[in-house]
Amino acid sequence: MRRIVATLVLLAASACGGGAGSSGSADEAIAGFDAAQAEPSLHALYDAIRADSAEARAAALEHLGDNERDVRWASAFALSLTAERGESLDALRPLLRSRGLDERLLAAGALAFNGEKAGLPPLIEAITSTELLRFEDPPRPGWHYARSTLIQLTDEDLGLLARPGGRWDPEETQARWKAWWRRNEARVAWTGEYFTVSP
Amino acid sequence: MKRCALLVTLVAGLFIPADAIARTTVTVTGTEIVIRVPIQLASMLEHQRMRNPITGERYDWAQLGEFIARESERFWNEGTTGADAFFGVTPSGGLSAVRYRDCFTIRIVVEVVITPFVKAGRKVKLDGYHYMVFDSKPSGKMVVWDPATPDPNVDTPSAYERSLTGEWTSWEDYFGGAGHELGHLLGLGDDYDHESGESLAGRDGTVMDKGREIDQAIVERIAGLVEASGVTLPECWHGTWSEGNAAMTAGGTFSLTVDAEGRVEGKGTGTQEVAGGGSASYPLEISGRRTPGEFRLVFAGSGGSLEVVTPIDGATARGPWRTGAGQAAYRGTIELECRTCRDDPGG
Repeated sequence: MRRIVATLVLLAASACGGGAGSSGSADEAIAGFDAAQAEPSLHALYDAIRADSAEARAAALEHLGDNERDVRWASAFALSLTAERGESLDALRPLLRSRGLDERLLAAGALAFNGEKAGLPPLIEAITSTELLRFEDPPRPGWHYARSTLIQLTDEDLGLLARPGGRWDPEETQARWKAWWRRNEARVAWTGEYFTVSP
Repeated sequence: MKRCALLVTLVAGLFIPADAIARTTVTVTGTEIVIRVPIQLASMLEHQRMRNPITGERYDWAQLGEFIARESERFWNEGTTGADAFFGVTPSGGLSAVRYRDCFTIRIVVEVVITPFVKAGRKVKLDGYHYMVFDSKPSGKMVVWDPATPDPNVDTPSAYERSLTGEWTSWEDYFGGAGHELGHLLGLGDDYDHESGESLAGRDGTVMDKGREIDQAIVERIAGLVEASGVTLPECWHGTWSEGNAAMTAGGTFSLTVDAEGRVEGKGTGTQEVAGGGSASYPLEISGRRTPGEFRLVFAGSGGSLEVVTPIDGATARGPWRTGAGQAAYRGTIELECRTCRDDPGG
């Protein structure tokens, strides 16, 4: 019975030209990304990334300089999830200086996640950002992204952790992090899991 | 493409028994509605440890799953999180502070299991769980895909009918973010406009908007989804009685539920005051049966039990309260009002 069911399901799927992983789907998902249809667009993009991350990475690299803002965002987003050391991570580096907060943070998060400490200063800069990031459910501001990323990718606190007796103070926390970076930039090292200050 | 997806779904659905595809499940005991939400987080990074955003400890998968489940439950059931004081948030009370039709309480039970995304070259999918890809990269989104509607503001009972899929990021604090996404696994749509980001009218600050509030409307919507999923909530009646004579007055309040077979179950509190003396209160257990025309209720307390027969008229019931032969001096009235009867309960 199970085999019959599986066969029928496969037949139905193949009659429809395959699934999300079919050739060209990543390119379509990125080039066709439409902010007015954000949820289905994001769904298609995620399907493409989960089906074939290498293909999604290649398509993202191709569209990273697109004139359309939404397509550029979709490229940077796909790249932030699929980037590896080398060409794809290098392609994100210029976005650290982008005028758009989304692009800066997508690049910073991906670089830091891959052990590149160049991603840390934009995250520290965003600790006080109240600007909302695109396509978040529910909408969340830049400081939220910066806070959770710095918590996960370092072994520091400096006002980020919600310890009993503490109080969230973005300006004070940012000042501490800036001082930490000035003091330790040269000694910040990647353990393979997070950044720490080497002795 | 949508039609193709529908064809695949239909062919697959023809052979899957209904009980095998139920995911978010509901149990009703008396006036308590318990909603169980089982979630599989399929992690993109095997064995990665995540950092607790309160203590800074790095958690393994079992600890992290437990942490997410308990914080999500606390967020919904008690309206509080481990970071409230840090962010200066006043706890709202959550579901425990709001009842459905002044009768039912709703409680959420979350079960989280973290697995690898892929094992031996195959995707790991657990039967009976909502399937969320757990991407620990900073830019990962929190999203639940609902195939029932393209409108993110619509409530649908899909989560009670099938395993939903989505994307969760381990970078959220598991306070606001996971609480909101859990709302989608209860069937709730968003309370904000996806294009403008603005709150829908009258929904500013709710958990399904960008806030924390779990208000009466959220509770009504969850109960509506529970019923839309095929669960029939029992009738719920609230009642009072009073009795007395020159030497003593007594009375109390109670609530009871009636299941589909007419079995009655309830609780109440009685009080007794002696003229010129003190007063005492005591708990009561209520059982009995309801027929289309009357209640036959047994009130049991520490002093014994008493059967009272009360005629029903539509959504109300009113009748004499007697303590029985031998104590005929104690007389009064009992009144009940149905809070959940949609049709004529006497019909």
